[in-house]
Amino acid sequence: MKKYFLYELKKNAFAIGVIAFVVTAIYMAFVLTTFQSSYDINANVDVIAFIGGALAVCIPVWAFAYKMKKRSVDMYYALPLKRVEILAVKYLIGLLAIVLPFTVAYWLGALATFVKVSEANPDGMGAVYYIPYYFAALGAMLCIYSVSAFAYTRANRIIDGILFIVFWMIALALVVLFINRIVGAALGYDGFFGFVYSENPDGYYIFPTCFSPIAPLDYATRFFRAQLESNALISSDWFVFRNQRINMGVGFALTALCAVGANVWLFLGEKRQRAENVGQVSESAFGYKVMIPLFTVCLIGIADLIPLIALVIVGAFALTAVYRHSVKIGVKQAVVYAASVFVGITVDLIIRSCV
Amino acid sequence: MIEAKNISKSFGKKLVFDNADISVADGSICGLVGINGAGKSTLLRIIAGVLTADGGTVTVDGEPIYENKRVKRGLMFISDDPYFDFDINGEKLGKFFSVMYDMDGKVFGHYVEKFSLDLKKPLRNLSKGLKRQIFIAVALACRPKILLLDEAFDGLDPLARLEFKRGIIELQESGSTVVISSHSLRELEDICDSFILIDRNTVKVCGKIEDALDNIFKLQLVFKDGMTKDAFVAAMTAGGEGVPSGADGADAVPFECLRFDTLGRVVTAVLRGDKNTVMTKIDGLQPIVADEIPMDFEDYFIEEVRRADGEGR
Repeated sequence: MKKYFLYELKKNAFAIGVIAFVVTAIYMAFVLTTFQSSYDINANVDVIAFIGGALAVCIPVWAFAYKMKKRSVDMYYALPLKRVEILAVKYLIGLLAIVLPFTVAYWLGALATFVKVSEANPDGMGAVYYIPYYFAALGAMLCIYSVSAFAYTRANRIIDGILFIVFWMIALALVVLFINRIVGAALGYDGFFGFVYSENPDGYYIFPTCFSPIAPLDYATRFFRAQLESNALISSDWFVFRNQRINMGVGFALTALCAVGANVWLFLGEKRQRAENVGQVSESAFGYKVMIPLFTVCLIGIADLIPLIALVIVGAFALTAVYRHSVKIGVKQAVVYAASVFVGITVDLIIRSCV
Repeated sequence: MIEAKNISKSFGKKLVFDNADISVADGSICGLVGINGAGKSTLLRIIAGVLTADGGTVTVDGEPIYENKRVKRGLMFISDDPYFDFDINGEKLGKFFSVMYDMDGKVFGHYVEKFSLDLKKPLRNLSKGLKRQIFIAVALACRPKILLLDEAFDGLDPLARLEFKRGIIELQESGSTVVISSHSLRELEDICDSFILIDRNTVKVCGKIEDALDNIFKLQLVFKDGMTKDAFVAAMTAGGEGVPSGADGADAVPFECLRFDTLGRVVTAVLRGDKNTVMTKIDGLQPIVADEIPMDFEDYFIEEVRRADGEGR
């Protein structure tokens, strides 16, 4: 396994180098063009957080692509390696493809930002916070990577895997919004889960970030941005508010739980993954099977406007067609689709009658 | 020894194998034959540990193969359309397999020279045949104890086929077992000592090619007044008109008529049984002409599959 890991590392070193170059170039372009003044300081952590998050979401698609083609599965699974060993090596290479480019971009960007800010305002930044933020961001990215890797490998085709990652990034938040709307309507006021809506000091936050795997990265970025910038939009004081502490607690706990569960399931379940399913319809319960009805019901329930509801209905059909690899979705799937739309519309009508 | 006992495999509702048994002796070259979709690739993928059988066991020297690193270290599988990374060339492919197996660089070099391969060219830019030649060179250089090849001759030119067959025989002589699936039955006949015929979700025949060809023969017969199949079978099994036979078919010959085509007075028959006994019996029918037409493995395969299909194919 060690030999195989070293082989993969050597093989992918160039690709990782290219990723590092591209990511650093993008980040440096932002850093070098950001206006800094004595009263307007920007630590540029939002951009690197976005880049880090994007890497954590996208890299699994590349790292685990070998599981999506019959030809590659035939080759890899016939090798004198256990499947879990191949998975572990690919997982580690994926992780390196996130950590190394992020590290290079992060520290070069931090250095450039610090130099630029120092020229404008020597005491304007708490630059030391770049160190804890680096580790916090890496931890948060690891969580996103774990969930993405798990979601992606539930699929049997690349396109399904990408959609599963998207589902997993927003599914729980969507359910919370849906329940929130029902309960709010039933009790006669909006926002039963008050803390969900109080994330943004400028007003209501439409997406309950704390119920998504991106929560820790989001919170860490906001928190350390407040420490790094003396003029940050959200001050350090904001984080002592009870609601924010609850939000952060929920976000960190849920994501950590999801990440641990995802990793355990990913590795323990590897032996049971069937090679013949590659390229076939993705029937995992962690994918379309549950997600399409769930998204259909929730999105119809949440969408206020008729055109949006129509869009959800059309979108659900399109997803079902992608799921079944055909617009002829079959009787069973048609029933599931119709039932989901029916339940969604019924709930929406009930909510409308209550409000 | 590769042994599969009572293996069954389905893909969804499609049954591929039902209680199939195979055994491949150590040091043999075994041809895996069957019509398209018979399950040859599936069987190879099960033996290679890529797929698991739904039921039954597959073992090498008594040890299960699936997820067994020790067994798989001596086993190599080259699929019908082998995978390679986008930017890989022959040299990098060799390096990859040398990480996985004890590859002999000299042997690899030998086959690279024999096949006149350009190892610097990306595999994606090579023809199907050249790609296969590189994989063959790698496989032969790895000297696995068990080599599984799917559609092995596909895309190879006659010269490459010749070199490939030589390589396989050399590998066998060094003690390796080779299982080759192919539709090029004449090529298989050249190098294989045993075969497995898969048909209708099971292993129909599994044995030595020599034995199979010994028991089956094709004859061209001409009878003065013509001959129908029923009359021929009746004459051979229970004593027909004009044929010396005991009253209760005591002289009946145990044989099987696999094919009986007539064109005027000319009969082409494919029969299975003891050749000498059957020929003696046929002589009693006083044919004008009774010639044996040479039969090869491909003819044998066609007859076996036709028989199973009830002449439907």
